[in-house]
Amino acid sequence: MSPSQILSLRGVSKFFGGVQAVLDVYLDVLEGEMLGLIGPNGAGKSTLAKLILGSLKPSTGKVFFGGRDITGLSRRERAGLGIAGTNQFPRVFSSLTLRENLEISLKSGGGKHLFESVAEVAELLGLSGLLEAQASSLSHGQRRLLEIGMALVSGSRLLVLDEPSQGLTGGEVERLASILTGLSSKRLSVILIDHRVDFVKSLSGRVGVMSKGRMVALGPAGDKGVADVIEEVYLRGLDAGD
Amino acid sequence: MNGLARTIVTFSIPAVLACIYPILPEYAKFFLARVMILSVYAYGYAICFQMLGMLSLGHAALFAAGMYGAGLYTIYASPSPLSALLMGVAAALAFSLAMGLLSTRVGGPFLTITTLLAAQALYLVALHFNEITGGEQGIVLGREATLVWPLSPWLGESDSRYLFSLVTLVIAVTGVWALSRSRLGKLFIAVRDDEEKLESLGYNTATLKLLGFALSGVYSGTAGALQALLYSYVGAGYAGILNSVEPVLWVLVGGPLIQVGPLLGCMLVNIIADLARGMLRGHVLIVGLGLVLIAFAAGRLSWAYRLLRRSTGLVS
Amino acid sequence: MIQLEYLGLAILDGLVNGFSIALIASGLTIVFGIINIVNLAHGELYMLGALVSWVLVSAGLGYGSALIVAPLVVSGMAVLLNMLILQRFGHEPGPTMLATFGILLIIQQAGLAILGPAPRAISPPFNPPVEVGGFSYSGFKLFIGLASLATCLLVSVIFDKSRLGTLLRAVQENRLMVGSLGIDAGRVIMIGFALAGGLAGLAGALNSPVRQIHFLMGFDALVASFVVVVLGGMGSLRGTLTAAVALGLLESLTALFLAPTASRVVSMLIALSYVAVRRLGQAGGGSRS
Repeated sequence: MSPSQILSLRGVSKFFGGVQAVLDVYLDVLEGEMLGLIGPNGAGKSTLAKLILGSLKPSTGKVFFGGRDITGLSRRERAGLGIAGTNQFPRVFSSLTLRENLEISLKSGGGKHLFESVAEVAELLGLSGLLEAQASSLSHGQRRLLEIGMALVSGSRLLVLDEPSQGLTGGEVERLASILTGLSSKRLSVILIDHRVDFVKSLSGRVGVMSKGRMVALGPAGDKGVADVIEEVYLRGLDAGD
Repeated sequence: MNGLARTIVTFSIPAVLACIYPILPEYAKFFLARVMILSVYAYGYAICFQMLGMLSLGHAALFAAGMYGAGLYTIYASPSPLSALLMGVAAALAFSLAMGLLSTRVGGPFLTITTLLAAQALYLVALHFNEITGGEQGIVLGREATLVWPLSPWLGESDSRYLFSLVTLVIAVTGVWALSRSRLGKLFIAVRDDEEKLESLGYNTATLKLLGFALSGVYSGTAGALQALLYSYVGAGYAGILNSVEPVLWVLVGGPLIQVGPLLGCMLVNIIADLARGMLRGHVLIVGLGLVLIAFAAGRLSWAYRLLRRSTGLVS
Repeated sequence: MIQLEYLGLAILDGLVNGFSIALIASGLTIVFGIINIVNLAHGELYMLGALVSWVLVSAGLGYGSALIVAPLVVSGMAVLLNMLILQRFGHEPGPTMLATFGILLIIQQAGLAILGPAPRAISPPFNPPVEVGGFSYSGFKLFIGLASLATCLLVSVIFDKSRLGTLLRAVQENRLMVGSLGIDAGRVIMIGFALAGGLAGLAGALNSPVRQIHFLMGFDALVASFVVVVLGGMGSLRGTLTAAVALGLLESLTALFLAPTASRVVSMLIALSYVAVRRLGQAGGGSRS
């Protein structure tokens, strides 16, 4: 039996005033897969992430999750279904300790949990020694890892990571890669948005390429056609959608 | 500071207040008893402002709801101080739920404006029905309606006032101490730090804010009810705007530690105001100057700066 | 049974009061519009306008001088307030709100020291009864209404048409950007405060012969202004005028049946319900302008 779709975007567009941030995107994400999403700055990747997470509502089009139309659901309601995400700029509760940040996320009641305890996740993040540290004292990279950990423990079925490698040190990027690789054993779907093309291609099964709000290519990470579009979009700055 | 040290610091001031009681002169007893009641109000305000980041300018209404609820009950229903205390707390709880329902729907400066308007509405209502409430002049309650009365065969008035205030303060401090260690307290702080993020983790932040408002209302109402039942007086002055803004000053003066800050700040501000009463035009001017000074100081106190920024900025 | 004459008087009174409130509230709206801060001391500027008028008239200088001097003095006070205090913390909303509340209390106490606890009054310089549609109305109140309306419209035209208006709106849009265009945002903000103070001072001077001049009159004006800016939209002058007229009419019409305090409470409750329904200031809620 082939894995079923967990998320479907059907002709989703988002306009800000007259600007088209996302244009007529169709996308299916399968259960348990890691889907990479790349494209130059301003391609609409972050907007697409917000449309999936529910912090933005599409101007047109529909969003389905597990076969159910969730277009009208709020960010919180979607969290309740198990849709979690991280932000382009990491957001954690800075007055609370790392442990408290994870505890709040662990008990947020988003269905079944992927992790049993805070200690287990901290171990995975490589932050066990900092559990009692206040989040405001963490480095940028540590905050980013913490936010990923919070998304993981909040009981996810779908994880949307927006630029998770940005601002991380070399060691932290490796840690991030090994965390993401380790997730393949859990039945969790991940949308990985990042500007590091090689990083995304090495981790993802399929890769989508966005340019000027459109999804201009989507296929296996090793696919020659996809690689050509990536090259075209990045190197020549062409609008492959026209 | 670790948990144990924090606990010791938290309860040290009430412990000192209990120990020095036998050697206090009469005026100090009177003064400190009043300040302890006001500190209960300060703790209530801190739950709303310092924990949840909501800059309310309408808490005088919650204090006054407790005061009128208790005081008017003894006048028009039954001169039984314990049921009057319950009535006061219930009235404050009801009013804080109404105000909370409103404030969980708005953000930034609008929360401040709406709480101010709601409190002013209650103040005007109290003035309008001055035949019942006594208006600005107020009403003096019967002696047998006070909490002090049942103890009068054994204790003098000022002694029993001090005792009641101290016991209430200890309960209030214990409550805030437990809250700040609890999961609910952590969630309140998370609301203050990043409401949107908490919402994105699946929490209903509107409910949390309402709960915080209600808890804050119970504290404020208890203080108001005790004000009526210990000093046998109710008056619309307590519903006025000055009584709403003073706790802001207490909390900011008291410092970042919510377990002791409100008590410390309330004591400090009232001691200064009391000392300066002779020199300047009194209390109001001290509060006014204090607010201007603390606004300047907030630029250097990062916790106060963050708190103010969170509670007055527009959500965009 | 209410006679038609009373109804007509109530409407006229409501309009005059509405224009007065609009004049006071526009200052609050202008300052909020430019730098997103709520100046809680704004009502006290109105009180100062009335106070200065009382001082001048008591000194025998005539009401005409008050109409000119009071706006200038109060405008200067507003500029000083901005320069000495609010500017110091870069108009950050939190400290500003606290400081303006402190200043509210300090000005109130100064008012108490000068005016004393009892209300003061000055008599209108002229007050011919004017026949309006079959009943007679105070000529001086008519003057207040017309002068307030004319000033509000003038300010609104300045905002929409003049270079100053363009500058004020530019600072409102983006304070950093206008800096890079070589415009001194600090000076534009100062002009905004001067304007806001002038309008409040003028309102105080205009209303001083028909109101009780009292040290607490500023806070009542602030509350009325809040009701107006909440209903009319913070930062919108036209919305402020419309909402003020609606408030004035509502209060004078309900005052036919209710006591004045009760009609004020009714209008406050309407404003509160409106805020709650529109979810003002909330992400995804009502507009912020």
